[in-house]
Amino acid sequence: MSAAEIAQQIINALSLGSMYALLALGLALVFGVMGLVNFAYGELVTITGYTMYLLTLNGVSWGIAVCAGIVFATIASLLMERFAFRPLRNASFLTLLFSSFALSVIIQNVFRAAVSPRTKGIEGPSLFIKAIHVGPLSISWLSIVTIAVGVTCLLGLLIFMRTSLAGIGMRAAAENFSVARLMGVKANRVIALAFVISGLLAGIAGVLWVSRSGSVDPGMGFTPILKAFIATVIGGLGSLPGAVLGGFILAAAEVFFIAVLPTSVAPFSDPFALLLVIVILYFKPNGLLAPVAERA
Amino acid sequence: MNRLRRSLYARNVASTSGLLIGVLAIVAVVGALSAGTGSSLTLIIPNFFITVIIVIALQMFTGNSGVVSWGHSAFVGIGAYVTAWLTVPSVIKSDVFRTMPSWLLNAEWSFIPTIIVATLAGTLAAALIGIVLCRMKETAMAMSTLALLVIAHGVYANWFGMTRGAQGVYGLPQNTTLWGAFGFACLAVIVGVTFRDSRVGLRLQASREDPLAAEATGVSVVRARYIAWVASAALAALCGSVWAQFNLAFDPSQFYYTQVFAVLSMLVIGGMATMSGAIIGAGVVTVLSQILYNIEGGSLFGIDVPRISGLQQMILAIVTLLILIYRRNGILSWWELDEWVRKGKKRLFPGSRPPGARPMGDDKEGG
Amino acid sequence: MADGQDETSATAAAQAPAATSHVMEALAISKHFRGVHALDGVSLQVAAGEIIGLIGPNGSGKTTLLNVLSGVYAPTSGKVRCDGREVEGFKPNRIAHMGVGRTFQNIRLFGHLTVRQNVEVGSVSGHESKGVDHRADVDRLLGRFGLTASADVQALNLPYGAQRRVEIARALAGRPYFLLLDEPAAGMNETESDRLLETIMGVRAEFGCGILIVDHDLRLIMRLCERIHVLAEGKTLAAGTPQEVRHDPTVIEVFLGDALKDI
Repeated sequence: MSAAEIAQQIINALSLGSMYALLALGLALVFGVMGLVNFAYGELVTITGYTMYLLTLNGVSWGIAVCAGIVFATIASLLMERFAFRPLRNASFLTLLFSSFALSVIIQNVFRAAVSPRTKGIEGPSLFIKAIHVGPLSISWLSIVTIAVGVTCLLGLLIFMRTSLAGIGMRAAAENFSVARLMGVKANRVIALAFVISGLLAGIAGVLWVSRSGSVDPGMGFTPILKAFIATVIGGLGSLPGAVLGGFILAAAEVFFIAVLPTSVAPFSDPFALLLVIVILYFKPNGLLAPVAERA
Repeated sequence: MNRLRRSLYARNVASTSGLLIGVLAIVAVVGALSAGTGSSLTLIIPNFFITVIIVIALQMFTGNSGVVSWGHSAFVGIGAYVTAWLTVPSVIKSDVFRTMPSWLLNAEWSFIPTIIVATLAGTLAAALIGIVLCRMKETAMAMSTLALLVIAHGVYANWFGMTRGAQGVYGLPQNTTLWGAFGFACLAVIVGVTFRDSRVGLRLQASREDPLAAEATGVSVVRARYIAWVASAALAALCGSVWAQFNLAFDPSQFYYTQVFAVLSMLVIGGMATMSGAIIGAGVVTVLSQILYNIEGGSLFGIDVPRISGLQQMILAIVTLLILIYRRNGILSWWELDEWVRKGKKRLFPGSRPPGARPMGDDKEGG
Repeated sequence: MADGQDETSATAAAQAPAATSHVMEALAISKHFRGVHALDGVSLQVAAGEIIGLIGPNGSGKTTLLNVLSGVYAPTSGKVRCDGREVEGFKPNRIAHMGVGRTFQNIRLFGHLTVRQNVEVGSVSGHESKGVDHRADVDRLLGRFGLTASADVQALNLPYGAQRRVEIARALAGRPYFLLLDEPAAGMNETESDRLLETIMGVRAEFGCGILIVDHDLRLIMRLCERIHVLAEGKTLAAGTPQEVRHDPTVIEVFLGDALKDI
């Protein structure tokens, strides 16, 4: 590959990675404070997508549709916490996992029934299709926006977690929930906050996702949650920086895998990534970046 | 396997499996009576028996070990595809399977040999995969079975030459009959109950309750899980083979998370700790699905109802979620059907205590 | 001892493992957890038929030592020998197969299994499990610990004291040469711990195992044990007979002197 092609792929990887990182972070955040791998998380992307679809269908401007999409995803996330997960607060990890799976099936089918089982197209601003040209490179505006949004969100979240009281409380809870509680961090508030931020991230990632794919369908939530899950496993369940790193690693692997291998093998990129996940879990059950647990 | 006969209120292989097989037999008779009437029961009941096989397989592993497996559908798929390779008539085989080697193209096997080979194929795959998976800790293993699900689906959907990809396979002969399906369901019951009451089964259940205490008591948790993994995968592959020879056509989506979720729901609803729970769960979900399917089709007992796409799945998921919140261990909780019957009898004839009751008064400090 | 015990001394002898000199040793065990030195160069020895006490303030490393001996942790350095064989780093079930049984500080039963099933797991997973009549063994153990009436109750439904007995019965079902007891008297009043004392001495008499008991109940320890090992901050503070330990000035300093005077 020429230098230009490599540079092109790097930009693709950064763009895709930004999206994955946002998704992974949202998933890891909830896992950190509640020990829950929220399968219904992908449906927040679905909710964002369908909100935007229905609004733009009725003539609402893209900008407002985006805001509405993000808001609805955040609200949905809060509702999920309040009504589906709070009653299960002390359940086992697998019960929680399975409940979230059930929830995701419910949400998917709500859209299937209420809107349509079929894929619907959604048009973004024409800007996204255009690209700027820097030398031999052609960088789409979508990529630029994605990277910019991604970096902004990650930085903003970083500042929030480091400096604000709420953010510090949440980090403490993510590290060690029982100790944090003993020190006065309010459980319900911390968890609710985690779900709010997680919903926000899903909403933003959802906007980027839908802009990329140009369509919505009831099952669209499965791929985002799958990517987020792989990314968090790579980076370490419960590690927030790990989730971000995992997102970029996954994107890089995907982009280069597809670029380098023959097209006949390309459809196997998801299975291959998951094979990698199994290998990682075998040697490091808590993820790549997490410390090795004591055998006990 | 060396069984341990426990007390008077024992989980007893004969008693549990006898009652369950009896229940299944009644269903089979209903099915036989409805043959020739054109009723949809001729499809529903054999499919129910086939579902029983996979639910029991999953109960054998997940119910006894406490480790949720999303990946058993991979073995059902192996059973189904191997069966297709062996039974699809040669004349259409080359259309269906583009890159099949000629020795397979000519193969046209009969019912039982096909089932045996398909089951062995699944067993072998599980034996290899289990070497890696069963060494992991519970959570990591559960996550890996999820990965296995997606990997298997990816292979089925993309290995076009041998699976025809997303378009799926067709042309299988109808070798599975009502009584054949019933027979295999009974086999599954016996295998499942025998396993649970064997030493390995007991050790596995101990590992479910407290893996650390189990290890300290001398149980090799890895080994117990491995044996259950391979045995349950064998049943799953068997199920795939029997199913394929009843439904005659299938595609990869039938081995993906929608179906997996449906089967897991059956376990959750009925109670994953027991064989009876698994079967009752399968029954409840089958009946519920059928009713909802009719509603989706526009009419319920002749009354017109607006079409709601995906209603079946949605209601099932809601029921599952409610059970998880309000009756976490499922309808039957921890006791088998025959044990519930005995409990009921004891309530009618007081004087002796049924299994699981709290001890009357203080247990004397002994020794 | 209370009800259910109807063995003659002949059957009791038949049950006891061969009276050879089984010895379990910890040699200069150190255990570090990311900077925390839970144990530092601790050595001790338990022989068949002995009852050794392990005491020390909270956080002194008692349970950690038990975990190292039973294979839950691998020591950072040092050796564990069971009948001369080096077993440090072995998985817990391998060590159990060498004849080591244990109980846990927070009772760890197989909750949804019945009492009988709990003990059965011990019986079929022990180190001499071939050719043994498991059913009879289990019945006998249940009788010995007064658990026959609640044999088919799910273990989590039992009162606390009964649960403790189930745990001990389960550990004994594997016919261990060594029994490690982690705070068996926790939460017991004086009467109950007196009974526990009798139980443990009875266990030693019948089963012939070497017993290592960790506890905070100093009254129990002093009366029960032939030798006592005192830990503080991961290091051995003192070791010897109860008399020696009681009058050891460093021990008195660590434990409030009055506590020892009352015993």
